[in-house]
Amino acid sequence: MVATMEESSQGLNEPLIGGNSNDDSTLATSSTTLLDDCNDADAAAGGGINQSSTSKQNNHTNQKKISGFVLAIIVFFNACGGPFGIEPALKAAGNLYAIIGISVMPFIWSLPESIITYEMSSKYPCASGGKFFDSVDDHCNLLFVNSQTYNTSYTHIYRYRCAMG
Amino acid sequence: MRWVEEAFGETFGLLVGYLGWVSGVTNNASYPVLFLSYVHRQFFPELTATDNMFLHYIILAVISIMLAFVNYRGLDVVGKASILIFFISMVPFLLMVLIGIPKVDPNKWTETPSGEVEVFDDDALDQNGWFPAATIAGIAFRPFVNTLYWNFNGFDQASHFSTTIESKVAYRNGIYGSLVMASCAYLLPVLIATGATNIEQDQWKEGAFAVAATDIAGKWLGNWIVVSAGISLLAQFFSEMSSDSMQLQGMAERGQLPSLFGQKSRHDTPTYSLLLGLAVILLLLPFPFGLIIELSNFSFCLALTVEFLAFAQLLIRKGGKLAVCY
Repeated sequence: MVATMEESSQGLNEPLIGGNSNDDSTLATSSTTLLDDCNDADAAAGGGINQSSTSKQNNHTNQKKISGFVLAIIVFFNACGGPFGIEPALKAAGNLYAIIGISVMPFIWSLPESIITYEMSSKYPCASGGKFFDSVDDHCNLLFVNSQTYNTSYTHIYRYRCAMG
Repeated sequence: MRWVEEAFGETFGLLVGYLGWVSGVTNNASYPVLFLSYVHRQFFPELTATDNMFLHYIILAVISIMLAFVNYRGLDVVGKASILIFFISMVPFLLMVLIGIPKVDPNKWTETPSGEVEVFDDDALDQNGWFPAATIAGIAFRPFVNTLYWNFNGFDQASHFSTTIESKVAYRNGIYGSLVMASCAYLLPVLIATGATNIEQDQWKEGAFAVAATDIAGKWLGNWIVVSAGISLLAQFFSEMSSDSMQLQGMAERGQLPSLFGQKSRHDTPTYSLLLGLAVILLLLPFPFGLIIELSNFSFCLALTVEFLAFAQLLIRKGGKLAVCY
């Protein structure tokens, strides 16, 4: 599991460069290397989105940004805030099953929830406030993901977004 | 939420935005109520809350307004306050874990349910309701799953901060970092408290960690844990209020709400969104804790379900690649 994680986060570095760049050719290159069955129109569509989001992003440059650590703390308090409240689980299931449940739960529930949140709000960061990330092909950075297929499926979403304006 | 809109259209987007906000704000109102009852029980056990309802309300209102003002001062102030509270409230658990490790008897971890536990005598679990209380292998599944679900929930709130984060990498690290911290914050104290103390299954209820800490290290640590529970609630208030106000701000910026709610103060916070949230909180404060929580849970479940359906819908619509990724 750990090995998979490291491997895929290394793989992330390359697409990220493309994602942060406003250069269309870089983007197209990174897209086509990653997406086998993705045609040029898709790549161009991705580029269009990338540029428009960059221009919107400039409106927010004066905004004070928070760091990843601060976000982690804030979300920590949103989701948990300490072990308070877990007690009834021990009461309901006894030590062994509660420990198993507490160990498994992050993987079967919280991790998918986090991944979905990360993917989707990177894709549609206007969710609550504005538009930011030029997220092009940095999904699938985590675990068990066939990134080629996944990238392809998301390219279709970009095209769709483009059609929507 | 933007994704829901993309999947099901504007009406659903608005609905989910509304439900999510209601859930957040009602949940928010529960924190000052809980905080006051902690302080009350620990330091003024001789007073009863029914004596002076008015004073009780005034105190709650003052707490809420003060906390809301911190939120108004900006997300970085909220972040700094939260970091401080994080260390103050997590240190006693760290101490409990460190002092407790030598005392742990791993055999106690394998204890299975005794089967003689009256599960439905806790505040949160006091009603059987219409749903059968299934017990398989001694596990009372309804309270078990319910508790786990609620404790491991809430990571979707990170989406509200997707606009105020430095970079995409920071965003990713923040989300997964919080996941790791939350998992450890549950698992480690539970492992120590079950392994190093003789707390019976029947005695596991709210406040059991303070009992465990008293067992392990002495009364001082037990007290510290009660205090840290209290201030941790304040930090939860901060983070909840910021994500709620960001949500209103986002909805206003997309034209779903009057643009008033998108207006920023000079501290870069959405003033009127905060005020609206505070107004609802002030209305909810007189109600009992259980009622507030139920209202919050109800709208949260609905909103989250639609969010997940939207995620599935988006992937399916784009080629049915869902199974490939998740």
